[in-house]
Amino acid sequence: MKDAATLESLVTKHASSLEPGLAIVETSALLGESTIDLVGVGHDGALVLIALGLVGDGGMILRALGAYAWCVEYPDAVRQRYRAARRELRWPPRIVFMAEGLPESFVRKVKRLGVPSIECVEFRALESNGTSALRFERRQRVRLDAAGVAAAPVTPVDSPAAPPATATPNGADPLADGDPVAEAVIAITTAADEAKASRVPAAAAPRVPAPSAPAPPAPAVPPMLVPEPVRLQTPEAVVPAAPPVAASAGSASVVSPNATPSEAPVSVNTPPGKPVAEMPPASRKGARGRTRRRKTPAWPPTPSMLSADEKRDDDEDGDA
Amino acid sequence: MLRLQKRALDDVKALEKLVVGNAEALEPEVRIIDARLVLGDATIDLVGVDADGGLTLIALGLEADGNMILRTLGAFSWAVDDPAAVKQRYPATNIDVGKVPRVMFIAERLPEGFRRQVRQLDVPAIDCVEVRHFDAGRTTAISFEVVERIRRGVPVAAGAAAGDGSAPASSATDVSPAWRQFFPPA
Repeated sequence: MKDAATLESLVTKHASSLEPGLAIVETSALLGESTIDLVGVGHDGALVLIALGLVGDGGMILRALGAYAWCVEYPDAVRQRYRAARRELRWPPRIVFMAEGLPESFVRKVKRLGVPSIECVEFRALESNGTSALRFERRQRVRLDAAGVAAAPVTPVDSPAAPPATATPNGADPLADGDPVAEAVIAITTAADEAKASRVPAAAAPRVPAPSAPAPPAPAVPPMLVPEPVRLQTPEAVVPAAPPVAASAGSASVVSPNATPSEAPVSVNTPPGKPVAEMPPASRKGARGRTRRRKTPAWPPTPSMLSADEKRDDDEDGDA
Repeated sequence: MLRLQKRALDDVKALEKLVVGNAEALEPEVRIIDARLVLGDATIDLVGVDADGGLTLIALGLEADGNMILRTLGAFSWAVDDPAAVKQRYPATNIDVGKVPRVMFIAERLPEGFRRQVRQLDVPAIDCVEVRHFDAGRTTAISFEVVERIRRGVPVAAGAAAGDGSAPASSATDVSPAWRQFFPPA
């Protein structure tokens, strides 16, 4: 549920799901100094003040309390106001608190309101196959009688499955979650669903049972791709392939194989235009995540490691 | 002749100081035993014990509003639901846990809308007190005026359920809750 306004419109539309015979007669009604979210008339003719919220909080209590107190003090004004809805209103009004979550502290406070009939209803917004539904669960019912104690429910729970209502000392009548009277699920189809429903009645479509014939063999499961384990290592300096020492005219260079590339003033015989330090993309990629070790050849290079040109140069040097 | 000049209260803290210092003027033999007590999820400004050992929850404000009602409602419900915890918190104080706590709203101004809401609370004894602070020459004076006394003397749900059918602690005017009129006498 996005906001309380959405909840208000849904409850207004499906008030009878909340309570059979309940009709919403005014929304955002200003009663005295308080604004109550919904005002309805129940099947018994009682005025029902409904406070809505996503989470039960003090604001809901104050709004309902203010509206109720004004109704009690000015009954004629209320009767006049809602005369069109019902000629005879049953008195006193009832209060319904409805929210997605009603904390224990909220319910504890509600029990201490001197209102003869209070109901705390939690709603659950459900969605299945593109269809939204709202489920109402009555969490607490507070009833006070003339003595202010033994709570006698005005609306008896006539379900045999429901446990007998036990009145708590303060008049609070806790309800089990499975109380059938307290639950209602309303289905709200979206606009797209309604268009679809106009073509194919969804309600008429029976649920297709599972076929009795043996199910076709399941398709072969493609082999799972097992991720290659990556071993994290501390990055090492990549030593380029053993550069054959270029024969400088009349001078012999001494090159340390462990020298870093920047420090080693080595000129290698590479084809022109090909940078020395350039690595293939795969190598660069590999160097980012893990360091690819390149085998450092033995030093000094054996004759088999030299190319033909290098061998010739080497021979010439030896002859000289 | 002493001339009194009304003096505005700066904040709730100043009011709290005045009430703590002049608790006897508020009601004889009432003792303030704690301030800003957290009961459950609510914080009540002052906690007192009256002459009969009954717990008194006092909510303060410059102008009474809904927040005062909510705080009091939270603290009261917690104290009623778990009186043993209250007793445990003040072991040295002789608190009668069999008595349902009383509630006092003290403010400079208690609007009619506020009092209308307070009348609909299921609390056995509520006092709405307006406080006035005066400059009186070289000294100051304070006046507590009870503008509404609600449901005093009505045995409440918890007390009746516990078999406590004793007479009310106070002999003040019995003001029945407003909703009682809707039920015919048995």
